[in-house]
Amino acid sequence: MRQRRPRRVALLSVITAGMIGSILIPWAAQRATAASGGGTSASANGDTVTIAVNIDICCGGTRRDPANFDSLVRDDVMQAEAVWNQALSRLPYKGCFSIRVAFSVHILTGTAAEDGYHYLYVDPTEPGRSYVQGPPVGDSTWVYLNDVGQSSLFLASMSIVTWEHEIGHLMGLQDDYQDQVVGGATVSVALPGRAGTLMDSGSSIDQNLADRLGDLAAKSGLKLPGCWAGTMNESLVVGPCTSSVHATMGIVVKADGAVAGTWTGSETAPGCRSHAPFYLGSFPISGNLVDRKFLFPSLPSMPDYPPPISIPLVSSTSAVAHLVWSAPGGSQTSDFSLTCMGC
Amino acid sequence: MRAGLGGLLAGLTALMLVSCGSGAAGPSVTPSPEQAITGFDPSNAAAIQAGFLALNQSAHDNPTGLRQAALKHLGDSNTWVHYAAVYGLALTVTPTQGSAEVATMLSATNLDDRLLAAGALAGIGDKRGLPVLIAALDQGDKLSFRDPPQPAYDFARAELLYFTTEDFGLRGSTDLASVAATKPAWLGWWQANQSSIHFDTSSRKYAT
Repeated sequence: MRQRRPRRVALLSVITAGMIGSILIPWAAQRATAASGGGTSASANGDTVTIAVNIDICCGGTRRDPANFDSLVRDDVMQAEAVWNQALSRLPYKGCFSIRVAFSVHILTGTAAEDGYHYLYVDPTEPGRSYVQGPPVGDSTWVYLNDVGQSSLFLASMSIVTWEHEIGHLMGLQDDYQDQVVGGATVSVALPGRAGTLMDSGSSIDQNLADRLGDLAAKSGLKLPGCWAGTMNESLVVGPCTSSVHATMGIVVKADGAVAGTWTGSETAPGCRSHAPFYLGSFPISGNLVDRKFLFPSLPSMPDYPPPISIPLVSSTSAVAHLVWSAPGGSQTSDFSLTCMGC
Repeated sequence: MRAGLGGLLAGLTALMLVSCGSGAAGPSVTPSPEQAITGFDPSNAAAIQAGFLALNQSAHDNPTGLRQAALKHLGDSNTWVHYAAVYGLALTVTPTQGSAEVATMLSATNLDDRLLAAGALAGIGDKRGLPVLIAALDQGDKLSFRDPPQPAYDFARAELLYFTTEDFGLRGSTDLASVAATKPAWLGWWQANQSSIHFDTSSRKYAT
């Protein structure tokens, strides 16, 4: 049923090195000889990073397939994609980048797979153990370079969460649990801090997973624009009342100095304001990085500091501004701090 | 276009066996079904992965051989050889070959034995697996070696939704408490319809 071709010989040593231990063949040393064309890729458009996973499903149309095998598999994968994207939409990478995933599925009726696609054998009826092959320890960009041939999924005992988990492997994520033999039985033990998350035995997609996906995309060679993340803390004192606002900023700096990102502000002490400041909530911000200063025309300003708000660089990775305005009966301070993430 | 996942297993497994010192396989030797079962080793993640690779590949390439080897080792006193035999049999059982032995495991105290048997029978159209799956809807113990780790109720939930046209609120239930809450309805369905439930070979589902 399955075909064999000499091309896979190069891949063999890579998979084997990963599977049977790095003692024999260092994983990194093998990667250079890996066959090209994994089914995973990453691209960036502005502050959005898209991780694409192309999946060939073998094999539709077999005697044991349910009549709706194709739609069943497609629906499951699309549901998994939706769950990933729903979670990632709330989990910006480095405070700057939105990560989204795009899963593409081809149901194969024969045995030949396509370049640039991961090849998964999907069994329609048996209660086997689903798994995706890859390096045994640690997240890896291996899936960006190789397909995961020798992987099997067993449809009948899979839930959508299983799809989410297995496609997590296709994006380079390693398990967040370890099987341990204890007293003649096996137990699955979550890695520290990872209990209940998707790559453990749970369903939660958290910031840790989002950051690891982003790190893998960057390690795969994806060039990301400069990312700066930071905060603004404002305090307004009028007589006996103090109003406070805290905001987070995540901005991307393009090569021409254009800056764009997101501001998210919340009032931490309402004080005696007659109305909430306009800069609460989440909204896009834009500006420029010019002459070692971030300039934001639309950020909250004060009478002594007409727009644009200027936040000067104090080093190659840090920008700080301390704005103070005093007037009879009140005062206001705003502290801006931005740090380059990964610079 | 390129070939499918095919046979890099041969060399891979050969290296695996050599590295583990468990055989004299040369670079082109695929583990026999016997080796896939007796060599199953859960000592570390790589070995587990390789063990399932060998079992799955044997089930695919030589189901008769794996079934025979599995039946031979079903009563093995070694925990892991026994597990591999149960797993191998679950993947290769047919209505006429091995189903009687699988059916004896439906009442096993060992969770893996019981649920792999139930799932295997359900998959070949043998409805005796269904009540065992229903019984597991309120059981939180985890099966061995699943990826991701899978509690009994989740395995049973997936199998019942996959092989029947019923729901009883199960599709929208994902945690133990909510899945377990559907169990009475499933029991009622089974008790009311067990004599008429049959396996539709076209849809691959059980219908009443």
